[in-house]
Amino acid sequence: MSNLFNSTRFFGLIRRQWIGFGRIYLMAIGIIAGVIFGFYAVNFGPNYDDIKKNTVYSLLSFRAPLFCILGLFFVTVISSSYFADLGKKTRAIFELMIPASQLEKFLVSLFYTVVVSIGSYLLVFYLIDLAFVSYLRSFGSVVVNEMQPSGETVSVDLWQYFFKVKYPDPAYYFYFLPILLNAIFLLGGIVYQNYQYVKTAISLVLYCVVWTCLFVYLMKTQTRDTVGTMDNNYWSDSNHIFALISAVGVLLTIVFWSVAFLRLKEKEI
Amino acid sequence: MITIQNLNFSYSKSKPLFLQMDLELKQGHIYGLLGKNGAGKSTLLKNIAGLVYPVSGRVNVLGHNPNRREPSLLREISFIPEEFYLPAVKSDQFLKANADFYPNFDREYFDRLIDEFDVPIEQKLANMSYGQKKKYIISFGLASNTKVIIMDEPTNGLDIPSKVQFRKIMASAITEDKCVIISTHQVRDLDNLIDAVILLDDHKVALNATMHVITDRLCFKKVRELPLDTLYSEEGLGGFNVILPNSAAEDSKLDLELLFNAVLKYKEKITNLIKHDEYVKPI
Repeated sequence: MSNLFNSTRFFGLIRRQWIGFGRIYLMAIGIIAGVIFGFYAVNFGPNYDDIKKNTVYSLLSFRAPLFCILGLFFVTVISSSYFADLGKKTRAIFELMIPASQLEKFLVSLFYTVVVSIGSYLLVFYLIDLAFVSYLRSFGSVVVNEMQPSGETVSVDLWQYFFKVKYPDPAYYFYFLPILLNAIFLLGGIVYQNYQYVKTAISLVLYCVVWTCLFVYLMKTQTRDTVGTMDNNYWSDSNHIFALISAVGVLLTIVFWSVAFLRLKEKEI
Repeated sequence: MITIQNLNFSYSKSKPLFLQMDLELKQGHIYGLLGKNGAGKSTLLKNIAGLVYPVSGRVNVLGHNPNRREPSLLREISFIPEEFYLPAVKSDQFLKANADFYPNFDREYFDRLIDEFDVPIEQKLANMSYGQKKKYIISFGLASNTKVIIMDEPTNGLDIPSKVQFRKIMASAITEDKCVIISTHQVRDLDNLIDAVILLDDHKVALNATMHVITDRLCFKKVRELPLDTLYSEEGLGGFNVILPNSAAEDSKLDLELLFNAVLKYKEKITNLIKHDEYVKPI
């Protein structure tokens, strides 16, 4: 039997981890579902009369920010709590002594914090949206004409299901963000002994502030007494910049996952 | 079975816990690990289990480096810590989730131990009392049928009948291919249970010998007046508890507490009289 990876052990570990992690996960997804439901209810309730008349245009505009903010919060909470037990001596010994390889333990953590958490979040959000929007659509639809950047006018259904909404292209370059945050909070959960979420969040904010200040300072010194020119170089296309951000994000995710794996391997009690 | 060579370990650079420690533990024995508070009993167990990393030196358990935490080694180690957590699930669910990781887990034996310890498994594990949880985890550890069983203060929290049961169960659990290490500061709990003693003092193993060797070399007695050749004595009710050189090959019952205190006070005098295990360097 391989000491690195064995599928029987891997699936056994998935089953085992559910006992400890499942409770936290179910509580978190329950709260998230409640919050999503609450947002829809709060937005629908006071507008009930206008909904019937099909005159509410911005009724569903809360969905995109809610989806992003709540989703990222959920992923970070779940990621941070997965290895939180390693900070508690009474629990950590059993976690480290369970006969599975460190690779299997790490992969199972990714299974729960990436596959299960993001998958279930999407499912819960889309299902609640489906229910409310189906109800909304039972009264008809709200269609407006919108001018596209190309000058073309198109008809847009404002009461669309969330999974059908087409967002601007740059949004797709940020798909890495929840995975990157997963890697960072997973690492924080291993490194810190207690208050893992708070400590990781504070560290992340501090890093972002430092890097932003440094970046702004460098750009200022580089562009002082210069005039900006618009030419057709590679970086003039904003999509290329977004692609670079995306590539750096993916690279950072891999780096943080690797560091998290190494810290898990070397975890001491 | 377990070999430790030149082990150096410290939690902080200024306070080393182990200095050039050597130790060999053989299969078929129940070792009692004794030492003062802070001597490093629990840390030594963690080094054996690979839960901490030594500064330098070598720890070998069943041919593996425990720090690598390979599944093939982990499934041969049962570690029963002093403080532990049991989830809020019923016994069956706990076993379903954990027992499969131990290929030699014996469900029948587990049920028998649970019966003997009188643990109420119909309730959730988290709702059990500390002593019941301890008995449950001991039963799980023993039923895993691992080659190495490590117990840190296993009798803490056990009531008197449970301590008696524990001793009985441990005595029947040992087989030729197993090595049990029990760390405790309650030496009386190890009476009639262990067959070898490891004593930690001054960053090293001060003593590692079987009970047979100790009683072969030393005689433990209760006397009214101190003999001239007394190695160590403590005043007791109606006389003295003494350790004497066993020059007359007398049979005596090892008094662990007396031996422990004697070694701490007159280490060289006592340990030099005991035939040293080949892996413990003479002081």
